[in-house]
Amino acid sequence: MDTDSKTSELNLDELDDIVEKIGHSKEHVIPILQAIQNRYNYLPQGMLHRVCEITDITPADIVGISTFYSQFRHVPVGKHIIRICTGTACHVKGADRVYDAFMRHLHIAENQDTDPDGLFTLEKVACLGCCTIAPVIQISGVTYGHLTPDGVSDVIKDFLEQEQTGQQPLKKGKKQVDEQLGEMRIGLGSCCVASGSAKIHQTLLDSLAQSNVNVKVKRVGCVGMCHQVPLLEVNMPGQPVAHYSHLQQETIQKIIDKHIKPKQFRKRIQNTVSRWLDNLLTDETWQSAAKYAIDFRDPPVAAFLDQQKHIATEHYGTLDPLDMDEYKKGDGFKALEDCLHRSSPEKIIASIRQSGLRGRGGGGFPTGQKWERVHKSSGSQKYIICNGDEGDPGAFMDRMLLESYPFRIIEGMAIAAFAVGASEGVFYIRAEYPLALQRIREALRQCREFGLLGENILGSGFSLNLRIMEGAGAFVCGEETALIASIEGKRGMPRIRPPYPAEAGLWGAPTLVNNVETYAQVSWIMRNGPDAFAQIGTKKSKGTKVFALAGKIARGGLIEVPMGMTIREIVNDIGGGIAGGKQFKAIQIGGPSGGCIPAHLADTPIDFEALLDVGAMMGSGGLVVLDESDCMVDIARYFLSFTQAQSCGKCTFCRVGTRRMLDILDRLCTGHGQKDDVDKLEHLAHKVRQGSLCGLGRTAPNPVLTTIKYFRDEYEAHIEGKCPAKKCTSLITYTINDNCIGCTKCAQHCPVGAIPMTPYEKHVIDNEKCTRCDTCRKICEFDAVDIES
Amino acid sequence: MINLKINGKPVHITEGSTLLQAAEKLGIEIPTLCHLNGYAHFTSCMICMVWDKKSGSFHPACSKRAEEGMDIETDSDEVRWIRKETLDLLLSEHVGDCEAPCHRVCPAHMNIPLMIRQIQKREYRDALITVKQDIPLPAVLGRICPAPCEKICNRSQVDTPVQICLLKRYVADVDLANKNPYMPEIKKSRKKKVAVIGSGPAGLTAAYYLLIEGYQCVLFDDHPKPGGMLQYGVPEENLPRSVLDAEIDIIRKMGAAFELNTKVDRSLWQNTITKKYDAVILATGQIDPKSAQDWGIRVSEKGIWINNQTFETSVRGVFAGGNAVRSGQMAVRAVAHGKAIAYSVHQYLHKKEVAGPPKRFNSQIGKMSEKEAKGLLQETEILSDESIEVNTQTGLSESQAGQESNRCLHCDCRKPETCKLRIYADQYGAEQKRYQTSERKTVERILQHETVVYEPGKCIKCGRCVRITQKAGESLGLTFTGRGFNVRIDVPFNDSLSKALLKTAEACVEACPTAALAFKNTEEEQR
Repeated sequence: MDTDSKTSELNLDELDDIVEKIGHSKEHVIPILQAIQNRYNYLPQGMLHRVCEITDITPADIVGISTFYSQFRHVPVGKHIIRICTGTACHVKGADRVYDAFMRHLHIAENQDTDPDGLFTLEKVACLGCCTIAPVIQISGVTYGHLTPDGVSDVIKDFLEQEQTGQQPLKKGKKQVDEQLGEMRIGLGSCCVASGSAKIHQTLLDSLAQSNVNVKVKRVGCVGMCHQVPLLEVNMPGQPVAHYSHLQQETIQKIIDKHIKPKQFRKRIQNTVSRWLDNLLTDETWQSAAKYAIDFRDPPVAAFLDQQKHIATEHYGTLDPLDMDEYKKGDGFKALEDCLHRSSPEKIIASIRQSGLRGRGGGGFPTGQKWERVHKSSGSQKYIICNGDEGDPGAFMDRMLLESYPFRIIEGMAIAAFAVGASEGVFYIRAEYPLALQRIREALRQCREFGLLGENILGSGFSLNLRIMEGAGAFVCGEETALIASIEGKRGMPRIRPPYPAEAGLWGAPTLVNNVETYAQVSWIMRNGPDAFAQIGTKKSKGTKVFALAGKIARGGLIEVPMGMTIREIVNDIGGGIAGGKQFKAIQIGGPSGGCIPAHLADTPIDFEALLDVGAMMGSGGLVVLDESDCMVDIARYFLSFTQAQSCGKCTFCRVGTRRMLDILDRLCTGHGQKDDVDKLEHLAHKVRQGSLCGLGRTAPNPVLTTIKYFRDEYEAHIEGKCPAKKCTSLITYTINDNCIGCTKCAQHCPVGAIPMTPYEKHVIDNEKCTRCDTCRKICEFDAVDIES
Repeated sequence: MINLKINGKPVHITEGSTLLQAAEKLGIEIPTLCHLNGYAHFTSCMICMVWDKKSGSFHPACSKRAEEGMDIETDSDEVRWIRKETLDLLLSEHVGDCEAPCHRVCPAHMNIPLMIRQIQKREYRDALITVKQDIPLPAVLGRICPAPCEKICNRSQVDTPVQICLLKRYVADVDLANKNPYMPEIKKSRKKKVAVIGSGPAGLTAAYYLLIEGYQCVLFDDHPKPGGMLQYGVPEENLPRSVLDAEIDIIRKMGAAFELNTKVDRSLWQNTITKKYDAVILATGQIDPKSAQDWGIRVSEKGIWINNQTFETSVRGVFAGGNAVRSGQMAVRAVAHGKAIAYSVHQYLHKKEVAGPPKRFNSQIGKMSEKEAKGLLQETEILSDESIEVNTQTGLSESQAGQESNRCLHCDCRKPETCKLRIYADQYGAEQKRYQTSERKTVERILQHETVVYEPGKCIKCGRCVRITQKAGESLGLTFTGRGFNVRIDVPFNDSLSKALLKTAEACVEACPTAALAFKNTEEEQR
């Protein structure tokens, strides 16, 4: 690409305006780059030169930063970007195969990411946070779930068709002025939207408008039951509350008809419909009713919710995230008011200490102690930061909390800021979470409008200004010193502690950094008292923990459980056990910093220390359930490839050490393992743990060490060239057994023509051509495809 | 004030000081690579790791604050192990040869690239001195050596290898043609006598280096003329005897005594050799095991048994090498043995532990690809792949030698002595191959700057240069690019290195702990 000729097409005046709006200092480099990329889809070099001319940002700064954060692209991309989620849940459900299928289907050459027509660019992303409908992809903002390699062509077709017909603009329901008959609540969190709830929402509004029925349709935050989405709750006067899961557009009208009595229709309904409605209410033979309607009194769902304890997710599924009145009705901002008018920083900190709250970002540092340090640090200017740079594959707790309870988090932050004496603060939120950003932005606006933020909050004399910083795609920025570097407009590289941010953080000033979930628990503690919180949980781990429960489980979703609950209870009682009748093998907890806990240790409680004792850690809340078909070496490789790619590259052990560990895992998974590889890997893992500078490197070996500890035989088998779980594609072959009747279905679906079509004869797979995409085995109705290792 | 202990010694230091500063106060040295006095710490290399017994954890000394009650160990086994681990990891991605492949494979370990650069500058005497550091018979070997150095030469990836052997011969012939051929400086006499049995290449070489060290040497040979196989085994047309005699003559002039026509029988051995000499070297060439046994020396199936490191035989003070320990070896191998024996004998007579010549750490990248070797052509003058026509009788002409020397790719490192990575690798016994688990990165040499060369493959990402250019306010300077394993240091916007280092070239080269940034002139040329 000739950059010079391109530069002339760039609108440099526009850039000048961007810079004018954002700022000229070094700290503004990331927002400026984001603005440029939003405009051009990549960073044209001419623009970067110009930025250096008109700001304090140097060429060294801008090049260093724009190549550090994975959000930034330096070459133009295809018209549409296909983002393939490689989160844990997607990985265990075959995201790699989906990726390969897209590469094949779009004829993208190896080492390239864009198809020859320049229409699609393929991009692997850390986690889209839709773990319950894995594997997931996103094409230019449209999300597709439950993908299979076989379904790739349909997805492309569907997307192109949709693009051609043009998306219908979202219509608002007719303004309702007269009396409302009831309320219908629909979840509009990111994962709900991903599974189609936005379409359902629109259909619902349209259908109600057509029927002329005055029912309030309310969007609510995450309902937690992600395994059931899209989910609709119907509250009609005089009727029991009804819930519908796995909704489809076609069903909407039936639901409306079911709940709204004919006399309430302004338009007369034909008798046939009434009769049909009676059927719907009574006739058990109508199958799809059973399929879509669930009831909270059903045992599985009751179990899903009964065992939970909602503190961070208080009023789950009932709150409109941005309705401040409603938040206030549920005692919102009461804690803040109390703290500002009837308490003192010392008392607040004492309460937090007494509650036993520990940081929910993973490390579990006592929150009260952290607040006290910042409180006691001298300095006229102090800062508060909300760490929302959640990037673990398989975790979406922070996103959900930010999307669903923005006011609660702001309230928690405001209380914390008052307690530590901070007057400025930053929400650091991943750019990959557009909905969370949008909601927090709007919530902050409302708070300022109502005097809950800004100068002299609620007449208390206390002032706090909060702003948003969009993270640019670097998992390491979850580490507090890297996060601060990032806010200061630098490469997100951690530094040694001490000094801790509590003494010298943002701009060298005392700074409080807490995780989203930590702040989300503060107002509950202040309202209900520290003892109420401390009563929940174990001796050293108090309160609740939010988890993203996903993987090979019957019912996945967002859960909040009391500390001390065992893994078995979570898997069996909340999750409903393993899906598909397979054997429970292990759970992976804590994401790339955590570890794998085998089924025989499933009575381990959710407790910071207990998890550490078995080699794992609490982490920020990813909880992925694995079954017998999951290869533990592959799981270790998966997590390590993530941390390795996310290493900032500063210290030797993390930069080179994690890479060498991955090399060894790669060769194990591809049949090139060497005799002493397991010992070598274990040895190196210990050194990386001891020698790395920050938490990323120090915990990166955990998935490897725990899988070696509990599943060493699987590693040994890989050295012999065998994958016991039959997962590692280099170590397995597909064959067809005598069950084959020659139906040719597999031959028709094989994407690489590895199965010659031989009607009425047993088929044969050409293993040279076979890419182990698993399509034939999935599609075969006669169980005639075997995997051998 | 903070009180702590380092290696058991108490130290008091002001609050906020680092462990490195505390150690300095006690005069305890801790290795560092990324740390740079006067600049903010970076904590990346992790070589400065120390162990705190109190907390049971490692800390990077350069930036970890000293804390009350710490009990630090800076040189315990654990510390040495983790430092070695650091070095193993850094070296696993180090794309650079400390010594050029030709230098490394030369049995005599001659510094070939240096000789070639001296020829380029027409400094023939210096070139000869370089040669004679390792080979006392270059005119001889220049005619008969099978030249393993040329077989490994990276230039062969592009066209044909540099004709190293002929260059060496050229240098040696020029010297011999001189009225006053080069005579090495002889150290003060040590008044100790060494008997050398056999005057072939091994014996002559051992004598040459022992004479330099000030020892008296007597060479016994049962033939009428010295030279062993060179005199009696090699055809005259391959090696004119005048050449051999001329090089032996130099050794004679240095003070070697020759007892020719003298067979060392049992009585001579018992009555004279073992009694009147302080050390004995068996350089007899292929030997009848019986006569060795007569002298009371252990033999193996190959020949005389020796300790492979020290060349000591089973009898104290008696050393052996060349074909006496294994028959059919190249003359250059015998020369190598001779030099190594001289080293051991010197240690022995100096009452030091006999350990043989030290083996230095050598980073090795293996064979270069054609593309990589082509990338290095920009430093050579002759790009044609026509090899130079040589008259084997007369050897190279001066202009041919000049041309041929300019074909060298300069594979060797420009900071072989000051590179801290190599120094520490030696110190901690690092193993480069241990973690070489995937394909190495590509050899790359950036030569845009007039005096500085940048080799990204040798960079350890310590960021010293980045901090220096930043602090000095270079308009372009250097920056980190990328992330993780792929992080590297580059000039912003892929601009030229000459524009990046307008005022900090020297400071950056000096600060770079490896040869990633180096002056184009190698260390030896700067002296």
